[in-house]
Amino acid sequence: MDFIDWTVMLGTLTAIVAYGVWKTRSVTSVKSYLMGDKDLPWWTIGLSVMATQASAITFLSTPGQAYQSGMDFAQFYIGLPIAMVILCVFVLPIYYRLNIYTAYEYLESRFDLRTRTLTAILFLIQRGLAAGITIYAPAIILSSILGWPLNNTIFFIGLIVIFYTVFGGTKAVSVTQKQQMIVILTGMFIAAMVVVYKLPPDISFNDALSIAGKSGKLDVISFEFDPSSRYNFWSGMFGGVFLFLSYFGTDQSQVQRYLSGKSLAESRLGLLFNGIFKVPMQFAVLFVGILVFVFFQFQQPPIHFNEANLQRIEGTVYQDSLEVLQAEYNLVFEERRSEMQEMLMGIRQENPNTIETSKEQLAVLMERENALRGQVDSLILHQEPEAQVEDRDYVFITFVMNYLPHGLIGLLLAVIFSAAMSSTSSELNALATTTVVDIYRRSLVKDKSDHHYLNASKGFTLLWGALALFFATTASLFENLIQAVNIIGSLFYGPILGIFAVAFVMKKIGGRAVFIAAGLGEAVVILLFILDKQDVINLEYLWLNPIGCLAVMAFAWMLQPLVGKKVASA
Amino acid sequence: MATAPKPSANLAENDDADERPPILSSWNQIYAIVLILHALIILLFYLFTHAYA
Repeated sequence: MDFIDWTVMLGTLTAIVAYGVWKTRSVTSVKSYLMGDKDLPWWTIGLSVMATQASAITFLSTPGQAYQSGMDFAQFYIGLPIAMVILCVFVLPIYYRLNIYTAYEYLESRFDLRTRTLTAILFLIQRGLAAGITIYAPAIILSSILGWPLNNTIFFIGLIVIFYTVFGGTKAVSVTQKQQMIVILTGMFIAAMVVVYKLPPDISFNDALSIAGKSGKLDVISFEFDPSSRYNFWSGMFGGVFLFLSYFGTDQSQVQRYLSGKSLAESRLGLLFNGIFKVPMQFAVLFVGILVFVFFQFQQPPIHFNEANLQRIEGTVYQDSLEVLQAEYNLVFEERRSEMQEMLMGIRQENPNTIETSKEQLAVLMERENALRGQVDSLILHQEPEAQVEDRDYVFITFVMNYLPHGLIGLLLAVIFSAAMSSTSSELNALATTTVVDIYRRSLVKDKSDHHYLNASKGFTLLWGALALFFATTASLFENLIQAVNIIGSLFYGPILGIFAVAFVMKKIGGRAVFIAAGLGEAVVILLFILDKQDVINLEYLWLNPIGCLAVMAFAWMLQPLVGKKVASA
Repeated sequence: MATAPKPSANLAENDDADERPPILSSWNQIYAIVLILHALIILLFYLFTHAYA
């Protein structure tokens, strides 16, 4: 990074934060702080909803995921547009009619206070943990790149977000998210253009696609039904619909975004905007990873993408071993590059024999390359047993730092910061709103002045920000960041959605039955998760969403005759 | 804000006639367009997958 990069990055971030603070300088009531002025048009709602979901993880991890495993992750979002339509038809009208602050308020009107409180607490646990990961993700990358201590980086990112979220509340979140999304989309588009430009002159765009396709990276969709496969059409459609119904319909960080709309029509259009553009956006982000994959078929990638891990070995007894592995890796890469040229010739001449032979050769070379990379991982772990050797989250940022021109490096870092800020600010805002509205003001400290609750809202935003910082400093990188967030969500989303599904659909079920059913449903989900981790069963985490939801509905139905009171009307 | 919202009868039966969409004549038409677009995207994914497999 040089002066231009620092100027672009800090200038972009400062401008966004300053704009957010300036636009929210007149927020003086709790309603304005928690709900905005309910004046947002649909495009701001749409961008805000997208920005809330698209964290820094999305832009760091997703291209790396495509680089390593191909584009099948796009199927994770297949159920999203359907979920948006269901919410627009059944849920938004109810929320608007009740004029509520949080989704959990509805549960008290439908069931009772304890169901509302339980669901709010489940949300606070799940979202509180996720907020920590949302800050942690860019911090590990930036600390690695800039050489800052990890905890200092976490505090630097977190304090900026906490500052403007505490200052301006929900309106600060929405107005900054619009700017952040513009920066994010512009930055990613430019990055994609640069990768194409950086391909060797004799490699056309179509050649790049052919290479990626023959390397098995462009299998976007699979209709094969397999519960043990993480991403396929069926898990995306069924598991995804349940997950996104729960996330967008019951997670306050999203509900708060569209409840700030000017009208029901604007909120609906905002959600449908997300339904139309989210899947193509994820496809585009994955596609950037594919382009980076093709780029690194002709330009040698590092033997390990996390530079900080390699630096751990420098000057140790393992340095000689690393140099031997690096020399062998260089030779294997040269063989692979020339074999890739062979395959490209076969593709251009439409010669299936050449293509097949090259694919077999490339598979052998890739196996050798992976073995060498595995040996480097072993060296790192010998030197530093606590080190995290999974490096796919570093693939895209390595490309950015090493191959983008100065100025654009700063812009792409601003993209990552913006994404981290946009999702974290929504989370802190929602956590504070739920704490104040569903617990503090509802059950603990009643009948105080508006000024008191405004200060309490700011205080809880600060508190949740501090807790998120604490979680971020104690989180560790496991498996893959984006999946970690989704797995945490899947443990809670199913049962929460089950409670709301009972509320919306099963009119004769009362509060007592659903309360017990929620506890049993959560126990089932956690049990299945543990059994999967112990290899007793093989169940991918997306299926926990429909199972948790259906378990709560089934338990509530069974329990109602035993424990339920007659429901007057609902 | 502190009190629970009042229960509303026929909540799920709301047809929001007062909230007309800004384009087209009904919300159902807009939902249909969103779902058709989504089906097209899935079809394109399928074609893309098979074109370069």
